[in-house]
Amino acid sequence: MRGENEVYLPERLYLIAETVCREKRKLNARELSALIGKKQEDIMRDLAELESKGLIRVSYKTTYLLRLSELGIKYLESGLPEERIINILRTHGGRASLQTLMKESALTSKEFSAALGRLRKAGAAMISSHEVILNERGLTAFEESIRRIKETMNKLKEPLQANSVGELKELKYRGIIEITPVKEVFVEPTPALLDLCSRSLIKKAIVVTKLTSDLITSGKWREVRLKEFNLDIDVPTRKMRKPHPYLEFLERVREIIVGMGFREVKGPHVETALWNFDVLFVPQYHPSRRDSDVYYVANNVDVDEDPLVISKVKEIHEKRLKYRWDPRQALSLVLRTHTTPVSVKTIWKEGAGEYRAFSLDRVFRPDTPDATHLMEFHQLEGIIVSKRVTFRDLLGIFKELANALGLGEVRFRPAYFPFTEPSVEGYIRHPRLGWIEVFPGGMFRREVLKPLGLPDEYKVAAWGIGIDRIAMMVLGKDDIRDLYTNDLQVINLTNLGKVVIQ
Amino acid sequence: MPMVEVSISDLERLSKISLSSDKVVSFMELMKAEIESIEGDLLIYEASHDRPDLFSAEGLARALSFLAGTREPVKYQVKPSGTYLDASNSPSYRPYAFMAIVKNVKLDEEAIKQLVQLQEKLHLSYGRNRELVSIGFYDLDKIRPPFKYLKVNEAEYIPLDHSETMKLSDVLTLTEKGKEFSHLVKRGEYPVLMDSDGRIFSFPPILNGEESRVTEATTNILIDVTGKEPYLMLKVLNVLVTSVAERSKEPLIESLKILGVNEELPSVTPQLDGCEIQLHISEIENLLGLKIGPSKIGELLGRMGFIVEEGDISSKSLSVWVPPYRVDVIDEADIIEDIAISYGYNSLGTTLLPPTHSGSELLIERFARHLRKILLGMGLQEVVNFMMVDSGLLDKVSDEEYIKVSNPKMRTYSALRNSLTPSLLLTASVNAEKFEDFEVFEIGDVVKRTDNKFSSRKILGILLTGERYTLTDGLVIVKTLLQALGKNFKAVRTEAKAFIEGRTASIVVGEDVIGVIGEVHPEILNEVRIPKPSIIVEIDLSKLLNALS
Repeated sequence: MRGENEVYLPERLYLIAETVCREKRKLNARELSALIGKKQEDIMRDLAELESKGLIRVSYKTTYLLRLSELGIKYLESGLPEERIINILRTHGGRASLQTLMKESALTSKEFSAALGRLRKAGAAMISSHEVILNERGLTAFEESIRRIKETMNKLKEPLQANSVGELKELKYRGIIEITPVKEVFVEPTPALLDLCSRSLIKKAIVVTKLTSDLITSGKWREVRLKEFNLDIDVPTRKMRKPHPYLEFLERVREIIVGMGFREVKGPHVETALWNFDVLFVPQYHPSRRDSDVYYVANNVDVDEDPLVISKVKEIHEKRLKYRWDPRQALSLVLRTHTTPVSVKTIWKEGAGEYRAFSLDRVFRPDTPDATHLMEFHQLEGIIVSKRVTFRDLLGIFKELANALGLGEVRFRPAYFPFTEPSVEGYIRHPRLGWIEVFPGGMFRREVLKPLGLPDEYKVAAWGIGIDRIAMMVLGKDDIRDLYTNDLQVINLTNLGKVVIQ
Repeated sequence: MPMVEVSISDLERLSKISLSSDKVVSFMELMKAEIESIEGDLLIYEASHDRPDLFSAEGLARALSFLAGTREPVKYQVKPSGTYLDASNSPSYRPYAFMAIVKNVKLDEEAIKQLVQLQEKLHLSYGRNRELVSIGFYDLDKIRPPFKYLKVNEAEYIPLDHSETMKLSDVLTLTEKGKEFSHLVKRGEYPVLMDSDGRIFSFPPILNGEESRVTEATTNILIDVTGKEPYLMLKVLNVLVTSVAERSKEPLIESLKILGVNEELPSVTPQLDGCEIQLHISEIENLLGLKIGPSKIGELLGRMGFIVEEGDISSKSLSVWVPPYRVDVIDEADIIEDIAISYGYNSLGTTLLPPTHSGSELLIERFARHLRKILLGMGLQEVVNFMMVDSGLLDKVSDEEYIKVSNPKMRTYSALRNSLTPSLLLTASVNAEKFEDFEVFEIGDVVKRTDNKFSSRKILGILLTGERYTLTDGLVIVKTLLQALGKNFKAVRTEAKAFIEGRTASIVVGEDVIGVIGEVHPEILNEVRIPKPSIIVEIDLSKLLNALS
């Protein structure tokens, strides 16, 4: 078990703290780094961290490194300029012309005039316009100062560290010595650290790259240091399973239509021609019943349909369209070409009333699959049965649907369907294809509703939308076959966000 | 829908309006026609099936001039020609024939082209490719009335595009049209049209005669319709007569007496009276949701070629005359649609009827969504397949009957799946090369035979494909899934065509078999090119739902 006040430090911090404690004094950081065998610049951040933890105190002091310059070394060998002038004057009996002095001293004019200036200032010589005369009275003191300077210079043959510069500024100014300031860092233990050390509470911690269950539960997470994460490194993606994009789209459609007050109904995929065509007032000679347009079922199956429907449909066809209606043709089985049979069966079952129904399901039409055609696709079928519903309400429904699906503006054009009058086709603007037809519908004809037994005062707005085209737009697919895909790569590449956002 | 080709200059000549492309585009929209292309003088459009009067330039030009207001609709005058068509000895399988005469026409190459096109499109869309209705045009001045429509055992005539006489039986075997339509006539009971000189001038529904061919020199035209559906024939005849009449400045339409038809049918044709339909003012608002006044109605309907009869302005209904070529108009609603079209669909405005009930989805769909979430959570990928599959594949994997299509476009889609097994096998074969192993599921409809009927059922199918899988892995998924639904199951040994014997089981919950699980037979794996072991599970959603409740 860990003691209450233990402090875990990563390796380098631990080393520093331990050393500072052991030395029990103010240590120069340079010295400290030497003691722990690291470079000083490497431990500076550690020192800051330890200081922030209140374990050490860091202080700074500036010292100066003094050393004789090249010029200083030369003066030491050949004498200071003023010294040389005094010597020359002495050989000339205490006085000499400026010219002589200049020539014999071999000083630069700058050195020469500076040296004369110093002699005069110290009262060691009198200088007129053409000659210099030693003044014995001031000379003694001046020579004493020269001796002191030379003594200092001799000391500085080896570099020397000093806390302050003081009178040496003058020599620096004369270029005789060089002074370099040095910032020194000092480290000393705080009483807290000394206390921890004395109780052996400073411990060494380990750096880890990952938190583990063991670290968490054992409490060792306090002893380790989690390495800082490098956020610049790119990561791979992971394998995922997702709902099929097309079904996800259909779920969205279902959600929208349920939200508009429609109740879901379902009907068989294999239907009699009676419900697929005849009830819908499609004449038996109509080209949409040709086998180039309808899949007929080859199986020999007993079909029984309500004789009442059969007789009523026969009556309306023969009376209104004036041709011989053949019940055998009506009883042939087809793969339904639209979901409208589901709607009319719902009306047949439910009869009069105010209601809305929808079906979202598959239909079939002979076609060779390519990028824009399929032999099997989905329709969103809907009806509103009401005494009040009008053609303008139907147009309104299309606008609502387009709006909910994010399809933009809808334009309407007259259209023809054998079972609706008036009939309409709603168009939306496709980003690349221009206006495309997506909303076919109309008001069911009386010739459809009468045999179903719906009283005259009721009307029915109906539509059957080929939803796949819209799915392609929403999902950003150019090939309709990609909607019904079993290819795991294609599914994976589809952006599901589009279904949610639109 | 029929694809129609017309010349724009011909349209302009007939309608006496000049037509810019923009004008054509906006007019055609009101005709429910979809423009396929406009290139130079050639306009190609898809006509609406319910408007056979727009299957050629004549009717289209007429409609355009009403719309443009350059012409007022008038009723047709028909004069008796004084002659007749005797159909009393007609073949019993094609008993009916009617005729009409249009005099004073002026034809050129384009006009003849249009007549041929109109004839063709009517044959296809109203005559079920000549089976129900067959049409002919003749130069009246080359034949001598009265006429007979009769059956003959055998005879000779000069068929169209031929110079020598040919026996009827030879026409069926030697000419293009004869080969194409020979199934419509009975041997030894051939229908022919004969003039009073005893000359056969047509062999309907096969081929007209050469001698009475309509040419640019023809001015008087005889039109016949023969076939099985008399009223359909009469409608088609009206469209033909009124269209041909457009090729004349002062058309003379003459009727013939028809002998030997039953009493219900007209004994004189053509009948171009059109019909009167009562239009209730309130019904317009009822249906469209828009109030339109009687004077506006007259204007709107005039543009569509109708005549609103003079009536009491305060009356609740109007009598509307429907021209004889508008065979699509049989009810008030048809007139109201034309009012809406004339008004402009995009000008009607839209309204929103608030719902009276809350909406809902089917329980089985909600259940399917729940299962999808569970399976996705188990790490299975969802796939979607077609319901249509290759009947050959079904034969291999199923021992139950399935729905077979009698007219498939391709073998790949020639039947409806009766289980999800074929779909899952297709999924396996698509992905087997790309992935080492995979676990997928599909929830979809199949059409199964139960008792004596086929019905649609929703099935959950699961597929595991990969070297590492055995039946155990499938059982694990079934157990996990059922546990998530609060149920246990028993695996009871069974057999199925697609699976290995001894490695197949029924999934039983309580007393009910709700599905099947098995390792796919290597023979099938080989045939559909899946080189790895595959486990398939199928569960019937309704049965599972029953077992849960």
